[in-house]
Amino acid sequence: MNKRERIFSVKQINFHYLVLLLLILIVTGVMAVRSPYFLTGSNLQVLIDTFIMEAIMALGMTMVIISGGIDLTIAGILPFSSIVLALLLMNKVPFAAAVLLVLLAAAVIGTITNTLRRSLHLHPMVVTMAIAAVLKGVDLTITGGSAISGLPDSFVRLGSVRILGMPVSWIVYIILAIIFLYFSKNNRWFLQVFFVGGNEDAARLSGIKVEALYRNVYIISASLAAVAGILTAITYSSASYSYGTNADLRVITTVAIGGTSLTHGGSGSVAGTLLGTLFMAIIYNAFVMSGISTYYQDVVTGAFLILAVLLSEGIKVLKERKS
Amino acid sequence: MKRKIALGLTLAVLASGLAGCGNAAPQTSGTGGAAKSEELYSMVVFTKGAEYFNWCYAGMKDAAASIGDHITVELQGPAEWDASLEARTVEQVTAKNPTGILVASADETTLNAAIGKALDAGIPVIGFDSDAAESGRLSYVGTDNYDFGATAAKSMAEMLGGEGEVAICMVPGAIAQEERAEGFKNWLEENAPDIKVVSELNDEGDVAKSETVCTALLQSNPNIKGIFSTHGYGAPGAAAAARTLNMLENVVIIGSDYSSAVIELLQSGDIEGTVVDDPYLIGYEAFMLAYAAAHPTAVPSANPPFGHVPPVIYGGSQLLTGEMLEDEAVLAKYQNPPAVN
Amino acid sequence: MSYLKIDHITKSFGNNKVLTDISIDFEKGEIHSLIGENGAGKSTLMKIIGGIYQADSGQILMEGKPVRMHDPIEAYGCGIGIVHQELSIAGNMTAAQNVFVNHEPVKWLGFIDWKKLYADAAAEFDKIGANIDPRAIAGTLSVGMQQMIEISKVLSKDVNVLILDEPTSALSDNEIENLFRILLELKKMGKLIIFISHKLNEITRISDKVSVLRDGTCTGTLDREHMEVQTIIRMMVGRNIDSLYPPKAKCRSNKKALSAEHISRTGKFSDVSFDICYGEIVGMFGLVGAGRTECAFSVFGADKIDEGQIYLEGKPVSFKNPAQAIKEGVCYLSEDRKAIGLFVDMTVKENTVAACLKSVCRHGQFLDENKAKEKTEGYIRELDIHPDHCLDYKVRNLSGGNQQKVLFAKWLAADPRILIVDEPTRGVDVGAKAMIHHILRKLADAGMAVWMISSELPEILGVSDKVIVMHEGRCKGILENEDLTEEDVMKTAFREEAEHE
Repeated sequence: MNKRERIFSVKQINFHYLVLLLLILIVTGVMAVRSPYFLTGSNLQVLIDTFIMEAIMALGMTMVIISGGIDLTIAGILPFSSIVLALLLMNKVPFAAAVLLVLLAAAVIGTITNTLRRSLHLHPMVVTMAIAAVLKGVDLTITGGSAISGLPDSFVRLGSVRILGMPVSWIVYIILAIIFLYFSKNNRWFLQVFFVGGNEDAARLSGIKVEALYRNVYIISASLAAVAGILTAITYSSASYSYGTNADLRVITTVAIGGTSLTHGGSGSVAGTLLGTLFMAIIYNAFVMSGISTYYQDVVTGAFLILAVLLSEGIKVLKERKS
Repeated sequence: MKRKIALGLTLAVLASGLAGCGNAAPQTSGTGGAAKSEELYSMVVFTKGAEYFNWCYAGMKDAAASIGDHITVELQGPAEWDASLEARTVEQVTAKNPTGILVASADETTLNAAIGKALDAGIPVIGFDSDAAESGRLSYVGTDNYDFGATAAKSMAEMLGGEGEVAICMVPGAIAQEERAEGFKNWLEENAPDIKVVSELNDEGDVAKSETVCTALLQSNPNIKGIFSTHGYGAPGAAAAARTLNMLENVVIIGSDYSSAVIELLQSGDIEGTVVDDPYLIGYEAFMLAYAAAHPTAVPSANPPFGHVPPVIYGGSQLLTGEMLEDEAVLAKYQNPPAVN
Repeated sequence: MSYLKIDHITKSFGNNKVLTDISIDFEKGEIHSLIGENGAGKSTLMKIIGGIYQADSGQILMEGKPVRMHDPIEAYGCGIGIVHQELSIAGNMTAAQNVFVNHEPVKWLGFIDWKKLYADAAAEFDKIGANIDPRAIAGTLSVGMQQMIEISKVLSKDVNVLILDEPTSALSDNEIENLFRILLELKKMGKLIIFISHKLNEITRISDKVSVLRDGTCTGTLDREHMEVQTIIRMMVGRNIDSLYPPKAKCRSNKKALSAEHISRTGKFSDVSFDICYGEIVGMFGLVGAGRTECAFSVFGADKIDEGQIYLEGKPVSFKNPAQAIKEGVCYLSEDRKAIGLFVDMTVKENTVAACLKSVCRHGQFLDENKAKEKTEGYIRELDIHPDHCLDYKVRNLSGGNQQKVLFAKWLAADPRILIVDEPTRGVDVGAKAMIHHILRKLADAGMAVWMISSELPEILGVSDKVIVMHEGRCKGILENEDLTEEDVMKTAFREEAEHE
């Protein structure tokens, strides 16, 4: 295998997945031995529930990162969406309309994010961080800090709806995951995100409408954060500005662990993100199950992140340097 | 190919989750009076790491130790203040099937479902410090925060001689603090109407932020005679602000709770007092209630199949001053905060 | 009526006039090359034809009708496509995807019809006889194959005019043969191929016509009969040398300061040997890609040497990093002064002492402000840096010429024995240019050995005592600068074997 093959080949990506799978199996094995409750149905349910919102947002974040950007607004959009939804419902707006309005608001925020990024020539990290801060401030002003409760009964009942035995949030995630998985491999627009992220100028010269693509990517990410916010409100029958704190870091870590490169656009995969999601969910559950102190939790998460980045970037660098 | 494996694995986990859904039948834990099998009690807090909760946990640990070493306790909770994260932590803890759960709720509503699920699974849940009143938790141990605020108001009124302008530093939305602020204001209205609360500031529970907002406050309104902070980080911040502006003499600062920083400031006289409840005792009592609920006795219970517990226990609150700390015994009680690994 | 006509095109970028009233005729079914020195305007002209730039005045006519192309898409609409020197291949997509990017065959909702995509790609590759697997990941293929994908990409859009920008710079000999075969095929199909290169031998091999650009105009178009290397060179180079150059060396010693013997660095240069003596200015000439900067990097310790040996005053040395080189008195004044020379956001004083911090520090680690100030002011006077109170000015606020002088000050402050200057007067106005040449001569006269790298022939001939001619990584000759003409140098560059005089 020559140098080029080693850097670009599918074999390298598979190696990353293999290591991830191995880690997942190891952690699962260790936990199963340590605690009799780990592999119970109720715990596995909880495992998924704990990370389902981040899982949804990770799908959109994957596309943003592949395009070469990053989206920190999700930590602000999630609580914002839950709050706006709650307020609309309490003002007797019908459920479907309320959901559509919230998604529309998120799309608008995504568009604003992209416009600011482009016109002010700011790094996406800066722009999205600022917008998240603004949104959190708005949330605090609207709610005065307390959670919103007293939502209509019909909505509260939604929290207990089970389709095929699964809560609404799971169904939504499964549908979205399948869509993103399939589209990212076969849909022309999704594939263009890879082109743009890999070489923006070349993509432009090939006729791809680069600016529209960036805008759409941020809209998608914002919309998924809104979906997560709506589902959070449904799950807890409540809305609060405290929801989603630091969710952006968890989501980005998930995407990075899945093998999508944070530094070079154009490389990554939704499949990797799915694996990363599974990994993170297990880890977070393992933390609580094993009673590890929160302080070590951060250390462990950080260590895995470094490991993931090493896997995807470091091997490339080492091999390039050798030749 | 590998992607298919990943997808397959995810689906497998989901499938087993499905299977689990059907089997979530309530299990009564604890067989009251049987041989001493291992028991686990979990304390779930928001912002794990806060010194206040560490005191609660220390109380819980001691209470558990006093019953026997077959009891294990643990402290769980997200490091950031996110109610939905805390709710998820409660759910995760529930999946471990502990003998009892103690929970300080991030807000009044978000944890209701999770607490309900734990109760349905036969695990007693006792609320403490910050209550989720509608959740169905068996009991609540905490501070009467209105009373707490009133204690502060009373002291403030005495120190100010009955009149002047004061401000409150707080985190809006935190139930305990809202209540303390209410109690403070109400007492003043009824008993010292010449003291006016002219400002309520949000300092996000952070000492640096508190210093910033207090500096702005004192600069814009030099008539402020007193500052009351409803949480533990506000008084040091207010003191720092007053010191920088050379207004320490003119401003009475009364804080809430205690920490090593607050103790030092009390001893140096920079702050005039702090209202304290007893988090250690709260944790201790909360554990005892959880244990009682998990071990029903012959006493008829208000919440079968759990053991009987009273609906509410309030610890009292009192003003702690620098003078009081001159007594060695008193000082020893408030220093040496417990470290939680 | 010619198929494609460039008619009196002028283009400026700011004050810089790149193309002046240039006119060329192109016909169908021919390979028409463009050659010229750096800055002659080949790249700009090509980008205007390809729709990336627009001309300030003049027009482009296709079959007699004027066309105006505002972007590459419109150029494709007129049947014109460019294969850029920097390939725009997405490494982690398949070859087929790269060929059809943005116009892949799709089914409903934008889903790619993979079967058709691969079949169409295979067909395109067949057309040019390229043996590429449409399913291969583009990044794993050789550069030659990637280029063929790029060519297919352009051809798939049904172009009649194919522009290739320096296509052979990254190709192996086999791949070049393959490329030429493809181009001849395309020519037979009636396409117009515009081939931009500075490699004379390739041009004379495959072109039907060659147009020579110089200083933004076309000095002439030759057809195959008249295509002689001599003629081409003369058309490329002939200009008036009217700028003043400093007098020649006063005291060139025979003491060898730096000797390089058969040094090579894989992929960059090979088998280069030369000497630089104290008191002389040696000019290393070559066009872009000749390997001069790479040579300097390797000597200076910023890069390795794979073979050969370097001697400093007769002693063999090998620098592992620039710090070691500087310690031995070898300093390198970089080509791209902003990127690797100056700290543009720091002050003149800070930059000046940057390479000699030890000498302005006391107690080893603490900067002696007064010493630094003195030193800097000394250089400001000596090099006439404007404005003269610029001690604490940020370098980015000075003019190009003055920035260059600060760069000089920095390296002079490091007290070198051997000074390597890379393109010392690039982007510098005429006045400062002359000043810098005088500085170089002064330094040489004071005993320093000066190695000057430049791609401006007049500068080389005006300033150097002897000329090292580099081309494509090889040293083609070392010429004493006595009555040396530009043609002599270019001839040496383009000849096949190296000869030393």
